[in-house]
Amino acid sequence: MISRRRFLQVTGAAIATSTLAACGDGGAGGGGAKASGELTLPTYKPFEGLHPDFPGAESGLEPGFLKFPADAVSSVKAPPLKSAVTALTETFATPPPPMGSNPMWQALNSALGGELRLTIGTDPGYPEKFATLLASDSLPDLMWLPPNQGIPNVGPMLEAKFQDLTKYLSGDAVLEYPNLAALKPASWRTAVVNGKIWGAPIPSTPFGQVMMGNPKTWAKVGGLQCTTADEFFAKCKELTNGTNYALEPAIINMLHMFGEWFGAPNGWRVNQDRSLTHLYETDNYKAAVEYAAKLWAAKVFYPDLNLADATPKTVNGQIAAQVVVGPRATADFRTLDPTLFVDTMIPFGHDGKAKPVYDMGYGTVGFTPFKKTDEGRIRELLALMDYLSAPFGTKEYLVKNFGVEGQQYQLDAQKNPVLTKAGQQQAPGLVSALQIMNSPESVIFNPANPDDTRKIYETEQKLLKFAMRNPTAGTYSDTSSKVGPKLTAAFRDTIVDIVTGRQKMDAYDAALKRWKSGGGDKMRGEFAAVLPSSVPVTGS
Amino acid sequence: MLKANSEKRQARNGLPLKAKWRRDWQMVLLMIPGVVFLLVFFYLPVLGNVVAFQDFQPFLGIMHSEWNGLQNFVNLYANPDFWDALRNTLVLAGVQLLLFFPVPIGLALIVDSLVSNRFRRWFQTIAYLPHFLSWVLVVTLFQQSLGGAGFVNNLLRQAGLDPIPFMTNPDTFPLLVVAQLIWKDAGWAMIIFLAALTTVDVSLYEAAAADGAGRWRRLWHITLPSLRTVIVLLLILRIGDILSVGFEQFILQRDSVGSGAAEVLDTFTYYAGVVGGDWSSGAAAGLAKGVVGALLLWGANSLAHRLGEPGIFQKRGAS
Repeated sequence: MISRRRFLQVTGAAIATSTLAACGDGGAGGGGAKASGELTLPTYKPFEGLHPDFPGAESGLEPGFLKFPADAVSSVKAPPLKSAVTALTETFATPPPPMGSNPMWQALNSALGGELRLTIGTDPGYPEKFATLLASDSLPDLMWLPPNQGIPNVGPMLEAKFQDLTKYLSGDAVLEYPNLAALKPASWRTAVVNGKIWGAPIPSTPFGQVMMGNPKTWAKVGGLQCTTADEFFAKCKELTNGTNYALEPAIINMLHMFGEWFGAPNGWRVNQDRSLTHLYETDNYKAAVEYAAKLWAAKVFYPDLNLADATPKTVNGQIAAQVVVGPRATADFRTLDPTLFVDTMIPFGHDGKAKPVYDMGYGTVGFTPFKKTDEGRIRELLALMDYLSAPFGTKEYLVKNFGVEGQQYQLDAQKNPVLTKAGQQQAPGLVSALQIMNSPESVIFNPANPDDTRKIYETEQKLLKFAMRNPTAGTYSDTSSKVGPKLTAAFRDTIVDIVTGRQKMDAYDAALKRWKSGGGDKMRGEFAAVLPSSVPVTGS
Repeated sequence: MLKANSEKRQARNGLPLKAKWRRDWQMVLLMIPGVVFLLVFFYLPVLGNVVAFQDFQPFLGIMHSEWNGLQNFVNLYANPDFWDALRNTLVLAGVQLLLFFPVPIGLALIVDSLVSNRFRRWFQTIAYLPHFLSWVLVVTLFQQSLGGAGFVNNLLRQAGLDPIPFMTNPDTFPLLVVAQLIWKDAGWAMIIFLAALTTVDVSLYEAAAADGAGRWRRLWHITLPSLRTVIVLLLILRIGDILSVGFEQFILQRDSVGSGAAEVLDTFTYYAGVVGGDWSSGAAAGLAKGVVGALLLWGANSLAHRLGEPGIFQKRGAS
């Protein structure tokens, strides 16, 4: 439902132009706990009665469904709302028709028992909208808080303006809201700041960025998969020809992929003595930058750095490979060409021997805090969160994502919901806005191409062999929250300069020095001080 | 004393206040919407500059954010990025002044010398239409024709030649910027000179021609002197505005040439303030820019007075 380019930004991976912190790149740092030791996370009670065709796993493997469960069950007892609720959210599709002329929205309102008045921001510009609204002092009831769009000073902001929900959600208290209890503890960590719970987390794919390529294009050079960086380089050169190019010009994202082949850590490396080394400080990342510069000099990148979305060009073969978020993104290419199932690159060691890594993502797109209010209203808003977090396979999930049968969707031959013409017009913008403020745990589901689900499930298993998580995920650093986005942006400016040949490699060390003295060293200290003992030494 | 004062005032204005009001009240009424507009959208926001002296947090607001005196300016002074942005701004402004400013004057002279009225109007329209295109369109247009995957470079590639990095070479970026500016705005800026040209007394040309002055001598001795006041006025305005070289044009091309070449004061303010969440630093940079701009404006105007030009504003009785 969420378009690839936009989703990339939400999940924090910066496109060449974006200013976001990337997952797996140490820039993010919104959630977590300073005093998480004292906090009991909400009790985890998975939703009963769902039987995926491919089971999920603790490792992050997403459950896969070939068919939407027949006879969807109800997951809430009563409509959650008594009066209207206002909320700020963001859509990553074309904004929907307004409530007054959107029957799907109206149907959702009547199912909820009250009007859900959404202010729907668009991308880019959400942090600015958020900040201005915050300064205006007339806050909506709910405001989606992205963990990685660089909203600074999250801790003091939450304390000043938003509602502490700990006593309603911590431990068994959450069981009153079964759909919230079905969110995993790993997801809940996003919503914990200063040892308090501030909202329901919004799970997304736990997988990070992957490189995808059009198999028709790559067939000429023996396929997308490679075993050494030199082989990849040679294939890229061969594919670049006339107005065809091997790689999309999203330098930072491509660099992220190369870093995995060169064994660079996910954000931070945990050393034997449990000290931390940042990604930028490793020789692995530096080697990846050199490799990227070599590719750039060979002119295999599409030469227009301002290219907004490479997807159509990958589909028509003008660009051979691009970077997207998570193996499920194959669906975005299917939308443009129903016959195309793109390949996903499995990381390999740069010299054919070294062990590659695969960086898992942030796992959530943040949480949605409540404006300070009284207990009755809090319960009402929590019931709304519960409704909108209804898992895949429930009636509420259908209402939220597909609308009403016969109006916005129909069941196809396999009994899968498919949007009607009216649904295609009313749903995407609204669904995207709802999904970004509340979501159940993610699943793999491709109603039109069930076999894709099996293939994606297999890809996920392959990626998980090399999976590495950011050791600081779920912890909090004041410095990272305050100056992290700015430091990351400045460092990346230099990296892009180096890769594109505007600066020499020796600019790397100068930029690194500035990153360290500007707050990087302070961040390291703060993250190291709260590094959970459960986080393993990197590479062990 | 009182009497002397009012006498003085009367002498200065020529008329008592009441009589002036009777004469001008319609004018004053007509001005009100404009004045209100300026007050609400220009003067009131100026008050927001107090955040430059605070550690402003949007969730605390101006009332509850902490004051930190001149700390933001000290930080700015110590920030090499700010100085880079300032340097880029000045370089770009210099290049613009040198290469852009004379173009509309030349254009106006050419258009003015065109004999066919129809052709003249046609040319004028074509020249100023690009002004109404947004920067996004202008940059896209340049990208499509001169960009790495654009028309010209694709032609070069097909001919087996190396593509030319028009859009991505940081060293030639100021030239690219001026080229875009000329394409977009030279025609528009020409209009004011054209208007000035119509005020030149035709009999002067006739007299000069009768005295045997050729085309160039007439241009040098009649046309340009008549334009001088307008040229100086616009030059002063431009100098006062010199630290605002544009925003969209740079933010759109920042990734293509890197921040080293394309970061100007306005984009710095945006990235540090709005995107980086350091609103106070952004405001401090903006305020510093405004103060310097005002000083430059005043300086250029004084210089113009000294050279005997009216400038943009005058001391009473100076002319």
